[in-house]
Amino acid sequence: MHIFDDYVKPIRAAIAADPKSGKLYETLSFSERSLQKGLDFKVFNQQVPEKRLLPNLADFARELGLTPNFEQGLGLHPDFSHLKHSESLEDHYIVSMFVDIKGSTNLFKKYTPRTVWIITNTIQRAAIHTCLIFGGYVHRLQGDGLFVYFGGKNMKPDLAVKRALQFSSVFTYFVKEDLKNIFIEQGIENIYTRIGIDLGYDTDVIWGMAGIGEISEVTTCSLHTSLASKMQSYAVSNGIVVGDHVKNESPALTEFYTPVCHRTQRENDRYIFQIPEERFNYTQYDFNWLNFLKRQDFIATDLSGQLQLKQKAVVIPNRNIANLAPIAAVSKPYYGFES
Amino acid sequence: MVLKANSVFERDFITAKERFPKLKYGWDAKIKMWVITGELDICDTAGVYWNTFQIAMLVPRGYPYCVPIVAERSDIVPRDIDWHISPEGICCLDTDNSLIAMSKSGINVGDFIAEKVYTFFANQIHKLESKQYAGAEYAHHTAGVIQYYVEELNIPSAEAAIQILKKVLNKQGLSRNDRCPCGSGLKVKSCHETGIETIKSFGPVKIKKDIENIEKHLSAEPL
Repeated sequence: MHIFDDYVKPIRAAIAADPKSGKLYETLSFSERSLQKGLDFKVFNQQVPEKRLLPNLADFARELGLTPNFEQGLGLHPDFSHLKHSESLEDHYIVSMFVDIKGSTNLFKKYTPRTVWIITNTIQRAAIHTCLIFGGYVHRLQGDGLFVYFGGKNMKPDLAVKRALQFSSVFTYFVKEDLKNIFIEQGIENIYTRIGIDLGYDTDVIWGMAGIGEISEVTTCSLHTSLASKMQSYAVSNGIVVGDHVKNESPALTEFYTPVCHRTQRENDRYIFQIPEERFNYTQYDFNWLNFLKRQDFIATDLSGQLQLKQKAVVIPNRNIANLAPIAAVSKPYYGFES
Repeated sequence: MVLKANSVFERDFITAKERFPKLKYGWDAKIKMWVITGELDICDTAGVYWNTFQIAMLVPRGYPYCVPIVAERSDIVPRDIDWHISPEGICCLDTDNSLIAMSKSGINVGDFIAEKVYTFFANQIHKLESKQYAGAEYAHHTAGVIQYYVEELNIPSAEAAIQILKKVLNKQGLSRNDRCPCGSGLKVKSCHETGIETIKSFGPVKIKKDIENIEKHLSAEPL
């Protein structure tokens, strides 16, 4: 898809420059040498700026007609920031998502901590940038992963669900396809994501300040935030598990949801939460994010089955008719209709 | 809703959908055909996206032994004979002869889209961008049919094609050791055996029609 190519480059550079990788200093590029000399953070910030999308991802955002809002702080959702240091609580729906990035511990087997730091931070910045494009709010960083919210005062639950599914699908594709190649080349175990998503309606979610003084955050108290975290642990490698409410808010996507118990073959896994006396049975579903992604307006599937970004808004400098010719030349059209 | 494979077509379509995810299908009881509709995104060999066509495909219930009809609904291709598309948007993907021959051995809907439909639209983009098709095209009407016999079945001329078509229609003089009716002097087995088998698959109605049309075409040609 190429939208994360610019994020893959610093990871490759860091790996190449790692003293443990055994690459000769003379063969390193300028940026690789700079990394090795210990200018890590400065060079890293130049390569993956905090508050600027890298070019390919910026093209992607433009294609979607979305603009990321970088002016956010952890633990202070902008629509609920008034609750900080207040004694008020507020009922408001939210989509909660836990993005876990697994397997990064293996990186320490092959690389120095500085290299690992660059790799994990690049992945995390790619996740944050992508999340912001889709209008998500990063509530907390959890190790290499993220706890994010989608939705707020000016967005309806169904759009928040759609954006959450789009972000999680695009980011999973990045980790599964783009990063996979690097790590296969390096002969280390793969890094993968596991994501859990759930929606709590107004009646399910309380917003308020948790903690004391500055040791605090504006956060949610909701069964469905808890369930999102729990469902993430049920996801397969590079998998996404969602709750009943997410499915209900996306009726056009029913074909992409399969109860988790169908995969595990254990009926106990059908419901992620039950209150028998209230006959409350809450189902968890595997989300077929790849098929969902293939159906998005901004995605095209090429003849070899690879997903490609449909760029209409952007003029593509490298678009070359010679690359279309081999496919086109197979056609030999005729005209036999009578006038 | 998970697609359930109840027929050969539906089973094949599930696989085709992996490659062309924005197409969907339904059964039209009135016309008794499968109807495939949706978007076909065209990318090049480098994976770069070029354009999207809205298409509709009618697949007769005789699938896989059938010729699907393909129409463009998005109006990107100029409705002009030189663009191989009818005013209603029906696309002339190939000669009837090629398509009939293909249908006799059975088609696969995914392969048909990849090899005939996708390439047709890629070729239209090529012409829109560069004013010419990337490969060859057939002449219109009967001249294209003659071109098919000459280029695809290696028959030397329209006259030779008529001779072979008549022999196939009358089912005589086409044993492997007979002289090939193309006039080469060789035995059938060393000459147009494969082409003759292909022609047999067209059926008598199409063969008769081709004979009539080619004869009419030749008599109308200026001396």
